Amino acid sequence: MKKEAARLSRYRISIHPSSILFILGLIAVWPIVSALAGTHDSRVSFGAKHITVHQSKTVVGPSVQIDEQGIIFASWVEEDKDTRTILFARSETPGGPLGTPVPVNRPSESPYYRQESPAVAVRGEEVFVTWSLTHPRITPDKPFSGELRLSRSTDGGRSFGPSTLVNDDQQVIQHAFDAVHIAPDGAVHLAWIDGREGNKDPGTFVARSTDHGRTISKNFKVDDNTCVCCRTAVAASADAVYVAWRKIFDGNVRETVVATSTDGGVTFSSPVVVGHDHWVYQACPHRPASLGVDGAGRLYVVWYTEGADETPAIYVAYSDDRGKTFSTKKQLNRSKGTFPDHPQLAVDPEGRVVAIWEEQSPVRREIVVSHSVDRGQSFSVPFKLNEKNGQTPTIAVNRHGTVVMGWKEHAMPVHRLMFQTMQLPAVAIAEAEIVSHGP
Amino acid sequence: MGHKKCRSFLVVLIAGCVVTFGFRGSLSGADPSTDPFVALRVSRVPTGHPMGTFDLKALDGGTLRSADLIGKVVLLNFWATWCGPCKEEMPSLGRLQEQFDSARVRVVTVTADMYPQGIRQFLDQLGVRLPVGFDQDQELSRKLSVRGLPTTVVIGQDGHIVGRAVGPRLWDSSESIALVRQVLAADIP
Repeated sequence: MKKEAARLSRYRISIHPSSILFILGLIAVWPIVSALAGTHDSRVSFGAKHITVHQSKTVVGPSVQIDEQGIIFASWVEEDKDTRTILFARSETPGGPLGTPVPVNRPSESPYYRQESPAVAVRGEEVFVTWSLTHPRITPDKPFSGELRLSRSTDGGRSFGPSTLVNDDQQVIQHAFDAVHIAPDGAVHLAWIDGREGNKDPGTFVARSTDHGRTISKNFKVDDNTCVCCRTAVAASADAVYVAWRKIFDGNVRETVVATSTDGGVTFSSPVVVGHDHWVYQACPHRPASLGVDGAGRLYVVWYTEGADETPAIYVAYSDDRGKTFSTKKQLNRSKGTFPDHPQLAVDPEGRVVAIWEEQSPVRREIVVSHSVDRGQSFSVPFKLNEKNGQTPTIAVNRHGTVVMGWKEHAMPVHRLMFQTMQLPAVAIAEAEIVSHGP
Repeated sequence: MGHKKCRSFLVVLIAGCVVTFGFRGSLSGADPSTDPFVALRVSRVPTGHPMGTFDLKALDGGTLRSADLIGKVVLLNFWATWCGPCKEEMPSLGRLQEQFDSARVRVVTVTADMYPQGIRQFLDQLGVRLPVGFDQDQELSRKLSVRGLPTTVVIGQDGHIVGRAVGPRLWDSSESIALVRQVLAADIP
């Protein structure tokens, strides 16, 4: 017994008074340390996971949206027996599950296949979906050509009318990598990549509809030298419309850029480089940027780059001057053993920012989510969502901070689309800092 | 840490090191006039990361099996129909294959684009007769750390990756042919 006590006494901790002061100090500053390190926020609550199982040959997507009541919406592409269909589904109750999907395209229309989900925008009972139709005048020497179509629903996505042609060039080329967004004034803004001018690298084009999608404006070229495969992104505040894409600069430098319109999407500024990543890459990254605007007009951008040191990373930055300048970029991914990929962003009017992306390794493909309740100053520790290998994450948020997240899981021999909601806590900054500009 | 986790971690670590250091290291120090890897800007993979096993659905209706590629020098070209540089380099890949006996060298293309009709038309137009495998969920792309297109992975006869080119190349250039010959020669026991 004595022997044992003597052995244990060697491990006795003697606490010096200064150590107590140090520990108390650490406890006092821990919330600050936590905030800087982006600790997991226990005030976040998750809804149930809803799974849809697809026996079809191929599923691409999903894209998601959520309305102010928490009803979730999703669209994806499904291929079976060489028939491709753009599908859309909505939940009848807040948070899901999704109801029976309806087709967006007509049976006579063959969607052009690509590794991109349809773009979706929802406001009230109006739903807009953009997708690419295999070009009606496709020829064997131009097999990869498609038209950009806009489909509209006026009953909350329960049915869709005939689609409208968006591109006005009539050329048998690709019109793809599209984005759609409904501005606070109800205008529908569209962006896509388009090679109509025949240059080596295509351009970024935009159009808008001010009559609820019935007619589309004349197409407007925002810029040249667009990276051919990195999808465009669109966002809008009450006083500006933003388009983001990846631009190729001299020397194959790839930068995420943003152009701003202050006349309702009629014209756009020259593009502004967001992160100054200096990523030299002579291939197709196939990784888009994502945009969001809060109620005070702060524009947030999240994007993927490998930078000058060729290290895959996901960054977020923001602009308080309508895209003229951007904040110092903040890295979102933290894992040391995986590569981050395919980030998407959503922002609510209060300034709650939520990002979702993949963390990939040769053996795993995880979906993680991270959020900020201080307008992008700090982000929570990324939280894993998937069960099987997950891919193509997507995210949206409503004005109450209710987030919907969607992603695909491949569970041989079927595909699973996964949907889950998350409730963000109130913003953690002084209310005086938020001056609402939006409706 | 469990054995399985430990093994996964090691795989990730090795792959990460290969991607981060291995592919870049070979581009410095060697003489471009004598080293076709340097001349063609193909990053050498000194650690010999294995190709792994795969069975992909093929454009011709069959299955593209990694087992059928063992014993050959393989150029595994990852591409997509929307990728301009991929389509630009495709004819030169076809011509490279014509330079070598397919029993010894195989040029194989892999795409995540499930668009067989368009791909068939595209290759027919070009007169290219290369096998196409469909990597529908990009599982193979991820295993081989393919992060941009086109990426061409050069595999030795022993099934180990020896090089990687990110971006388009003129694959029937003298440097490319020299590179394939070098890999063939290096693999002779």
